[in-house]
Amino acid sequence: MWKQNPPPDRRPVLLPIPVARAATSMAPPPPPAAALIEELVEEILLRLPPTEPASLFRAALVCKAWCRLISGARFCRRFREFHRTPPMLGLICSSLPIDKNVGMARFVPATAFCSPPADRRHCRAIDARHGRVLLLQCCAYGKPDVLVVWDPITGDQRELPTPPRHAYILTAAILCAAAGICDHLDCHRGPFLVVFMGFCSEGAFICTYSPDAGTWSDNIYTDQPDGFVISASKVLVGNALYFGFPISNTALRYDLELHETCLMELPPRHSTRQRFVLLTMDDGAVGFATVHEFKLYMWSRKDGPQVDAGWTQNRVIELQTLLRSNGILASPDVVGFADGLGVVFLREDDVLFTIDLKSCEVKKLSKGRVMYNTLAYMRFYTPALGAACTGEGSSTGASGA
Amino acid sequence: MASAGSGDEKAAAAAMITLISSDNEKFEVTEATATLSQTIRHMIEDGCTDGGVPLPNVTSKILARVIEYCKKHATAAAGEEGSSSSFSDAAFLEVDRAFLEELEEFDDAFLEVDRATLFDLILAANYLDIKGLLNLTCQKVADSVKGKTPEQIREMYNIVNDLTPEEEAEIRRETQWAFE
Repeated sequence: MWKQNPPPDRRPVLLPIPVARAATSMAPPPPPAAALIEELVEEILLRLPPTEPASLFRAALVCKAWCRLISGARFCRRFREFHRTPPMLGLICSSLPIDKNVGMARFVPATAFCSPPADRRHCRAIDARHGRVLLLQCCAYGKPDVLVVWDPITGDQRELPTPPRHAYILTAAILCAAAGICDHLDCHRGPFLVVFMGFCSEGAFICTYSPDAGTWSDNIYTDQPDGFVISASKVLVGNALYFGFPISNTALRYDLELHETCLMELPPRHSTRQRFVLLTMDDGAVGFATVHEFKLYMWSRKDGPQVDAGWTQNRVIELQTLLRSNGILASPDVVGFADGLGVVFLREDDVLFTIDLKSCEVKKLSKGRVMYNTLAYMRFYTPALGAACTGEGSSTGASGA
Repeated sequence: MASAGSGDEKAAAAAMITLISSDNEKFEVTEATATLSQTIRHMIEDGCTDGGVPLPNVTSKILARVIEYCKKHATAAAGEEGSSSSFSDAAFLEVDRAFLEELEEFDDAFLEVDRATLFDLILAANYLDIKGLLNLTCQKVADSVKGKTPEQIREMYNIVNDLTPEEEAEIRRETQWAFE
């Protein structure tokens, strides 16, 4: 039983705590005091915001018990399960090689967490998902570009072999290899899959690479018309990956399980220069967002393997007043989407900002050099501290951040 | 359940439960209020509430606060159930929002307590297994820890730093960015 008398200074004692247990016969036996206390500290620390990883890291320095708790595998797993949606730790933006500047991929932190990785020169980030980034590294003239899977937090990278068929235009997507069954809360160290889409003289083709297979799969040829695709919008909805192509105004749906493709029209836009993004809707449908003259148009469609459901326009968000109060006076472009957060990235000139699709709240992210591609980097970041805090004899299951 | 929050005094009176605090104070509450606690719900299901439910881990001061919370949330839950059948969708949403806003205001006011009381409420919510109250109170503490330095957290919650200077230095090296 808990001793209910408060300590003299009336300050609650969380941990470590020499708990007094009064001996009394009528109490139903409570769990051992120390365990209960630790359990409650865990309940409290679980509720620290994943969008501010620094809070967890600072809490780990409070005392041994907190440090051990926070860096334990159990806590990290519960923390992810409690919050469900990984926070956006940053944006990965790419710039084109213009004048004397080399093209580069840059990590723009959205919150304080570790030391931001250095710019990746001669690289473009072409996709980011499930805690990984896919870079296209431009090599010397005459040599094919190389796809690199990059972990911006640990700096680990893995070059992929050259795809079997030379593509003069290409794009690719990276995802967890267990797309249909994984919850994607902590799979950035697990097996991955790269889906490559390229155009060659015979037409458009798709092939896949996984480290397990160690080689590229056979090519699947599709009817996708030619187009500028490197910044193609990509979205994973259920077990299907969609690539959106601006010039042909089409999307290619690739079924990861059946390895089949199908081509579909996208909703109408005023011109091929009007940018759009594909996204996931709350109800599991694939979504489409585009901006024209201060209006954000949202469309969605629900596809089955054989079903062409068609697009439905289900929302128009009037941006003018929202943006004017934030000092943005011209109609923006839609440039990206944070999956699971319901947030769309917009850009007007050199100002990058987000709009929350639920609350319609507008937030400025960055101002500066025009970046040509914007990807959300989302992942849980929990302490993986060294031996100092795991203590001798206790579990050493800190999550590899 | 149906009799609980609808103001039907007779039916409610038939389902009163007596809770007994550690300092032997008795509290009469409706079953709907009491069963927000999973611990008490199980005791009722097992038929061991005759003669009152002794709660030797909860003082009368804290039990009174816990009951206040449960009463409010039980009423809100019953109100929502009742309203869903008798209003049109739009009116229902309106009522729903009003309920939620009122409940939020109640929760905010409820949490205006000193840290020792808050801590006692967490212990009680955990012992009585009241999920909503545990979430509310733990979130309040988490919000107070957020953004604080380790020194401030130790000071606030009376925690002794038992890390050796070497351990602390090593962790700080690994987490330098969190202090910038």
